[in-house]
Amino acid sequence: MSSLEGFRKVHRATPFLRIWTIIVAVLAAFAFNSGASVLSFIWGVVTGEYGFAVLPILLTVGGAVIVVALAWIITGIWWKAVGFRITNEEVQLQRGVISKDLRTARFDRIQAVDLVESFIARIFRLAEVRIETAGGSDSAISIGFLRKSEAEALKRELLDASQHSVATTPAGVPAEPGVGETVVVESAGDVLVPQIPVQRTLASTALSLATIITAIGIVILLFVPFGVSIAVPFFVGMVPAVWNLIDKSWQFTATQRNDVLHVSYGLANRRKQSIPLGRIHAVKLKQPLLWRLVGWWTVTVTVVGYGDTTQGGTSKILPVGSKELALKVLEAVGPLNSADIAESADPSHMSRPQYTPPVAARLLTPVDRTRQGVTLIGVAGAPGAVVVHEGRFMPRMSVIDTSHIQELTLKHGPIQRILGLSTVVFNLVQGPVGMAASDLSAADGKELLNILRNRKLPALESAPLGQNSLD
Amino acid sequence: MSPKLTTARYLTRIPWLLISAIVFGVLGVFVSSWFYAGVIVVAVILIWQLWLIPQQVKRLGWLETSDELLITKGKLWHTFTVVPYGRIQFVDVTAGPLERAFGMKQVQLHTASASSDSTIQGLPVAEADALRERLAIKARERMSGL
Repeated sequence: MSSLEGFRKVHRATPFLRIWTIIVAVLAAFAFNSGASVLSFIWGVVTGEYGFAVLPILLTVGGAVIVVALAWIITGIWWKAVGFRITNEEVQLQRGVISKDLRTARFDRIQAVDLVESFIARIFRLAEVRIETAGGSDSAISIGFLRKSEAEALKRELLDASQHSVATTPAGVPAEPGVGETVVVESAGDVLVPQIPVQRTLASTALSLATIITAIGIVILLFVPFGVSIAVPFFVGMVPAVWNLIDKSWQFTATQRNDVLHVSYGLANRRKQSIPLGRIHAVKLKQPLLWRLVGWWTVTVTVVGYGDTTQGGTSKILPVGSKELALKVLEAVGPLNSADIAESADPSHMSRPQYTPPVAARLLTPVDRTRQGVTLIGVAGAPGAVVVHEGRFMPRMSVIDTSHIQELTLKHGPIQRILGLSTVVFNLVQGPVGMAASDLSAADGKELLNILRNRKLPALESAPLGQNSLD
Repeated sequence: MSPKLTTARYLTRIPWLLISAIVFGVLGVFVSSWFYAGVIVVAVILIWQLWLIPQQVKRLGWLETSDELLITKGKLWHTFTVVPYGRIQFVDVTAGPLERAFGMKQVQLHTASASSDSTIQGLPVAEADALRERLAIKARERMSGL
């Protein structure tokens, strides 16, 4: 393992924490299967029923010692092969015993740095540092486990390095397109979302669809004897969904410091995420059906490099909050200023839509037709941002800076063709927010497409360093 | 587009239909005459495909403008995709066994977007390679951020 010179080590307990579920499962299975016989044996020894049986005791203790020693040696081999290093321009993670794997991320490619404290790691006061880069589904680098103070220092170090590298590049900031594109920069360390009270978390969860389905399911299962065969898959499906809702909004806070949004949340796993504002592309405000009663909204964002956030991170930068708070968050992270928001971005209804589905579209969207539409913000002919409204019972509003639209697709299916309709799809980077201008008249669709084709593309965030080959 | 694309698509789709038609026919003879209904369904799909494939191929098209690549395809579900050169992350040129036999290649553009399908199928080999070359140059010249 001499190749690891100059690399820093992760905590020695890491291998055990990585497989702790398996360890617990094995111990539980062992206890479950042999517990009774072992106990009766021990009882027998204590009461002297077996006489003074030295050999079996020695065998048992010796066996346990050998198992522990083996586990220590085997995990030691694994542990020795893992190391990380921070060089002048990148962070490297080396791992693997048989097949070596060196994963590197250049500082200017780092999209976000998270501190993850899983339930088990919290018991041992350890944490993991997760580095997100722009890439496919498995593009994150997880360094861990480390002592919590060490992990926090590493996170700061990486954030500093990545911001420094972005700041020193001449074309650091995306081009500022159009009028009214200023992102409001609040003073350092501003609290954007004050801690969400636990009652609000619980109430909002209780009013969500997943919880209601689960509750109805429990009631039905109580009264109708379906048996375990239905109950188990039902709970496997529903309980994590409900749990996720609670976990992701538990004691949620968001603060903004130097164009980086810091959020922290979590019930079992306390997690801190740092999202550079420039990496936030699309913003979506949504009001689930029953939240109407209390006027709550949720804000979801697409962050470059986060993908669909299946691996534990959150993309909800406001899990639940009032409309004012949601709009404040939108103003802070999105491309609109307060005047734009007041004028044309009320999430519950459209105030001045420019493109709406024609009457002919009522066959396709009988309920939502008058509630969906597209508003362009900024200079006519070269808009800086697009606002899309949709949904009558579950109002949703998505906002994106036009320069962040990757590709545009104009399409129509057979029914749309008969009705003379078309849909403009905004192809965005992978994430939870999808945007499309649905069921516009064919002429409107073409016009919108042509307007958006004039959008300005942002400058490169870093100079291509010879590794951006296109082959 | 290479005119052979029609033939290639016929070859990939038609044999399966013929096989299932034969299976249904055999089942109809030996098991139950109800299976003849399957033969009829498959025959309808077959005729539909025979008509649809040339239509689809006719509607496949691409155009290079100064800043964008335009791709259009589809008869029933028609799509028209605009890919700015600056957005292209990388380009794939692939040729399956059947495509190779017909001297065709397919060019696929990859951008940071996950939801789009920017593929140009059935290009003659020389043209596909030339297009890739041009796209690579244009993408490098106009490369933009996300």
